[in-house]
Amino acid sequence: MPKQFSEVEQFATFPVFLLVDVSPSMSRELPTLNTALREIRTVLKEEPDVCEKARLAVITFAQRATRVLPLSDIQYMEMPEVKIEGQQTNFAEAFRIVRLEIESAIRELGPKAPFHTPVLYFWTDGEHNVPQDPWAGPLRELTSASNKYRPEIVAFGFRDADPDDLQRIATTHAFLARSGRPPAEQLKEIIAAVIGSIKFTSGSLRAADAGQAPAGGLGVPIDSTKFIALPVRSN
Amino acid sequence: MRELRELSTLAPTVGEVTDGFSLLLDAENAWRLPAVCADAGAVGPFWLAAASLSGLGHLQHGRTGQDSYSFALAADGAAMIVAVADGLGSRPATAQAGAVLLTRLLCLRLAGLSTPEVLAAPEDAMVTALRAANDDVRWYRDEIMPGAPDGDLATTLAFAWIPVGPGQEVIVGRVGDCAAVTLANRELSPVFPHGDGPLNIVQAALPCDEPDKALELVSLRLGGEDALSLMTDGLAEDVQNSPAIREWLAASWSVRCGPHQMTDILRYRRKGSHDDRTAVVVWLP
Repeated sequence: MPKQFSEVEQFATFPVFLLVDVSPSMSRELPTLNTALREIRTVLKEEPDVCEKARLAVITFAQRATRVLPLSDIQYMEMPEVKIEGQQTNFAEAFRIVRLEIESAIRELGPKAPFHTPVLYFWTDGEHNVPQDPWAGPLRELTSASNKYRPEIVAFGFRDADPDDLQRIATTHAFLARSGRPPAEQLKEIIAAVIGSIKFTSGSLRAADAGQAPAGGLGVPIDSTKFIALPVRSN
Repeated sequence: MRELRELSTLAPTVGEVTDGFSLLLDAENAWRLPAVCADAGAVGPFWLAAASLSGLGHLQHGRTGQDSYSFALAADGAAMIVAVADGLGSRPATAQAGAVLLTRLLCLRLAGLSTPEVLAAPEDAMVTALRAANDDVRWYRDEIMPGAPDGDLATTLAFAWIPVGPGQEVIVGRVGDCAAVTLANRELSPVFPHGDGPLNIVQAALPCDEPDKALELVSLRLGGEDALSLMTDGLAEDVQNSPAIREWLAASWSVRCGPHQMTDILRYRRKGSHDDRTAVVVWLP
């Protein structure tokens, strides 16, 4: 008979990564962004099922990508202030860094530690503008079936974001904020949708592979008056 | 706030747990299951105890539990059959119907097999019964939920065919990540290897086109063992990852228990363990 029970207590973890655009075009929305990021922690801390399972990390990107919050227990973490960085928007660097961060964060949970599929929430207000560093390759490495720690990606865009990019980046859900409202409002609505998705997914984590229900129970309840749901085109 | 009274429990708390879970019932879902089910008693020469509790995650969000169990004595009286199933949470309104149908229909199919037939070709017999039960589930699905795809009833499964005679082979099967353990000398041992990869991705579920390809089968000769237990993944993951819960269950199941005791055994609290919990324990004669 197989003998492979864990000899130490290991608790299941639902790893959540936020990949946040902090390029210069976000300058006017920065106070809103920081307030909304703090709101994520405040709201999720009140949800007992989320609190016991979900861990949250924040990575910002502009010209470079930076981990500003390692994968952390929501009960004890403090959300850092993020700031505007660099002069460009480099999706390739964002995907490279987040792949490394996800792998190292899950490995640090311990050998054979139980974890749910990581979910990466990506949002941007613009387009990749570093043509000498194309992003398709780094995205493929991040989402490749050979990557044991590959996340499901939910992509949001507002203002000048390219819907085609969002459709290629997302693995499960892509949304474009409907125009006609101030960008700061759109950003708040994106973060509210992220909170709703984390809450929903924490309570509904299992799904079958083999095409019956992709994305492992990941759900993103959204207000369709505020977002356009885009068909996902990723591999 | 009005007072809420509930029975105390001797079951342990493991890890740093959070207060504040709601108890919301799924009143809009005609296919909801009771949040607590239990049985215990004699089945032929065996003693069986079973319980199924809706998980805190489901109750927090006002969704029904999705586990089911069933049991039967073979028509010839020479074997006992038990099954547990776990409807997948990604279909919160309907998957429990798949779990209920599958446990009952598979027990019915297995109970219809003659014991000599099973002993002569165990794998063939189990595959035949599973295929038939898979077809039965689809037939009922088409009657009660016309147009619903297989995924709406997606469920994982574990079952055991346990002959009455001493020293004969017990056959244990599963589709997906339900588990089976044996109990001997107050120690649990796994019957199937534990899978790798993220917890929430289930590699196989029923109903499907080729159920036999998704089936894992193990034959056991239970010698010194006291009991065999089948369990859904909410419990199985705690058994896998928690020495404290293994010790609790092994000690608790070291003697036969009644339905209320069986229910209480599964009322432990463990950090992050919010899934439905279902176990069927069969004590050998």
